Amino acid sequence: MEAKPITLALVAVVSSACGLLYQQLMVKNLTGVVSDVLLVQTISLVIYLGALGVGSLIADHFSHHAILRKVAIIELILAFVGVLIGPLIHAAYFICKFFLHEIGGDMAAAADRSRLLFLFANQYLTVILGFCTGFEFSALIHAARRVNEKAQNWIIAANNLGALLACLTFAIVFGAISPTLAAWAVALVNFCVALLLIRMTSSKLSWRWLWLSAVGTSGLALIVFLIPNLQRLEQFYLKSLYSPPRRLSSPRATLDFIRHELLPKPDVIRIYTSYQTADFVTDSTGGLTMFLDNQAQLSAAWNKIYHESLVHMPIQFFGQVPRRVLILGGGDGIAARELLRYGDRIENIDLVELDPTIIQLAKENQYFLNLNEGALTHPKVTIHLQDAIAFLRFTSGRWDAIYADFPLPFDYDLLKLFSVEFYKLVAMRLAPGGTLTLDSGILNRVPDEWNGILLETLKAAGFQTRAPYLGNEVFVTARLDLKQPQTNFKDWGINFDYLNANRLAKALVVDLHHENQASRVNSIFRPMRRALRDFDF
Amino acid sequence: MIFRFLIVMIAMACMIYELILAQMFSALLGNTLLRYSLTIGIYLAALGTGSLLVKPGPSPAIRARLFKIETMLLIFGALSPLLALGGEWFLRQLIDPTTPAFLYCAYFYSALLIFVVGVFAGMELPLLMHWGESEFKIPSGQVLFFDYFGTLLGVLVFIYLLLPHTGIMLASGICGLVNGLAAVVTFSYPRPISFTPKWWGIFTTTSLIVLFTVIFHSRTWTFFEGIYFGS
Repeated sequence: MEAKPITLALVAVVSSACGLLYQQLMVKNLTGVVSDVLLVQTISLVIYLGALGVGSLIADHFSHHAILRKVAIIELILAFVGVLIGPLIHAAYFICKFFLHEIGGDMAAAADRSRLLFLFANQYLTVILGFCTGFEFSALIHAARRVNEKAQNWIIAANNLGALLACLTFAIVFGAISPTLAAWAVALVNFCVALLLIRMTSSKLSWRWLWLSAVGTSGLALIVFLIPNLQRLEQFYLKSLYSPPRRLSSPRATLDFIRHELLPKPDVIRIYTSYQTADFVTDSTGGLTMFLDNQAQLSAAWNKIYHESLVHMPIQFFGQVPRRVLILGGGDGIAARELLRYGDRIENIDLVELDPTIIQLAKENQYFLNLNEGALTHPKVTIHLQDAIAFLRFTSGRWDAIYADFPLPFDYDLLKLFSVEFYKLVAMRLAPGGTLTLDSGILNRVPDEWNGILLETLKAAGFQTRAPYLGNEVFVTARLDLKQPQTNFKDWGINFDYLNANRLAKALVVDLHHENQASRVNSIFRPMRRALRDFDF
Repeated sequence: MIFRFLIVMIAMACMIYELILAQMFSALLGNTLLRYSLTIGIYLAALGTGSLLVKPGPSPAIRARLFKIETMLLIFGALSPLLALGGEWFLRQLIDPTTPAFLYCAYFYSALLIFVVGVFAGMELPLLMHWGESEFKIPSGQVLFFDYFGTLLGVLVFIYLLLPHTGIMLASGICGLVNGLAAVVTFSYPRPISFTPKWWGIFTTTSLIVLFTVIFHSRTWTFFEGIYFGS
């Protein structure tokens, strides 16, 4: 039976949408480990496109009779790959971390190697996905051309429509759910389409119909079996993710490790937001640490050290409590809590956060409320649910102090928030004598190219005073005018847990080791390709 | 060989325009994740629309149409960063930028620009397929292969070469020159086709403008960059 153009176009929509969705979900799964989204996206997309090309080229050499049956078989292959994407990637991570990861020596180099190994080891899945999708697309075009020449354009349009549907589904529906579950949902569509095509193209009594139907039905049964076990599968992966690396030498040692160390660990609480994943991991003291996209952001153990350093030290350095404050990022509300300790000296605090889920957690979740003491519901605090760059570009306000409390740029995309354009926008919004303070990612006493890039970028944005200082990590406070920070301790009537005269006196002793590094300015329109180096795998 | 090279070049420029638009609008309007999703979504929809607008025909007619499309991409693709900034400047003159109305108009304008570039880019592949089939007897699968290869090359070239080393302005200008070259090849290969002076005039003028922005990209960018900071 030859297919009608409308059937071919519908199959092209489904094929293109499912192929691209799998590719995007693979990227999401991989970026759970390799935080450099750009690297993962580029490698996966390039391999996917290459496989699409090879698939479409090979399709030229096949007979295009009974095309729908061939497409049904490919749909079945895609569906099974979709079901297994999550578990296979998680298994690959376990193998890379506990069998292949180098222990000891240069941690950052070992982590880099393991990340690359993990990234490339999973690309066979991308090759299968790309090849199948490319083959289907080309075969459908051939089949359409047999009907008439114009029908080919309908298949191309259907392919683009499918890709559009994939983008929208990924951004709107799949953004805030587990990628494994999302892949199963896509696989369900593939199985249903495959069964429908088998039904349309085969006689019910033929062996071909029987075995293809059996394969399709068993795939559906597999999904039904897996869905209730999703939580267990994900916990296995998450506990592996937050366990320190070690080398397992034998199958017995592996089983012992899984049974006696990995599985008994407290569950990791994972929340998928539209922008990031937030993991809550129980540490050795029983307290929770929050990780955003695998980077530690907040812990009951060290939140006071971090936020007292970020908020109070610049106020001590320049001897003035700001009246109007802008916090960019900082949706956990803890920086706001610290600022509110100045009482009436603070007039208002504007907080700009992109992720509404983090704000909701900070306002309602008991873990957050214990840490931020309800700062986000304080009448002096105004929350703006907006991107920081867009907020700065279109606001007319001015502030005495601006705090940039962002995750460090382990990802290329976050580099925008460390760019000369961003700092110029901040400079335009600072009142005379105002200060910008940021968590810098600068490494104390470790030579690193980033140190030079950040300070040169601030300089290019017009900040004449740039003072790196040491809390539990290196922060930078900057001003547009020239004013040396002072380290004499001022008593504002606040009882600090971490900050004292002694620590303040030593805070400006930061050994940057950046003099001999090539200094470059990071720009949104011409970014440094270099994100911060992640030491963990 | 020249035809296959042409497919690769055209697909590469098409992909780079998409990335330039996404990068540009995420810098202008913020929220990179949303902006990239929207840009890719609108661009894909426009590619689909473009492919539907193409009618099969004899080889000279297809080539004449492809020449016009490459010329239009010279205008809307190569100058897209400047059109994005220029559009925002124009909106600022009409609407207070601190109001939601300004943002909605800016979103609409960004979608419109992406759609226009996408429609022209979307017409390229079906035209190349028809041309390849009728003139060189190249099967569609092979055209798709070179198209995907060009797209792949576009991703790599933009992310690892153009963006960090040339910046957005020069990158879009270089892509424009690729479109210009593609227009010349379309016109002359394998034998020249006849054209109206009107289209030659449009092609020559836009090529000179793009060439000017490439040669003086630094000055052009400094001029337009002020718009980014609201001046």
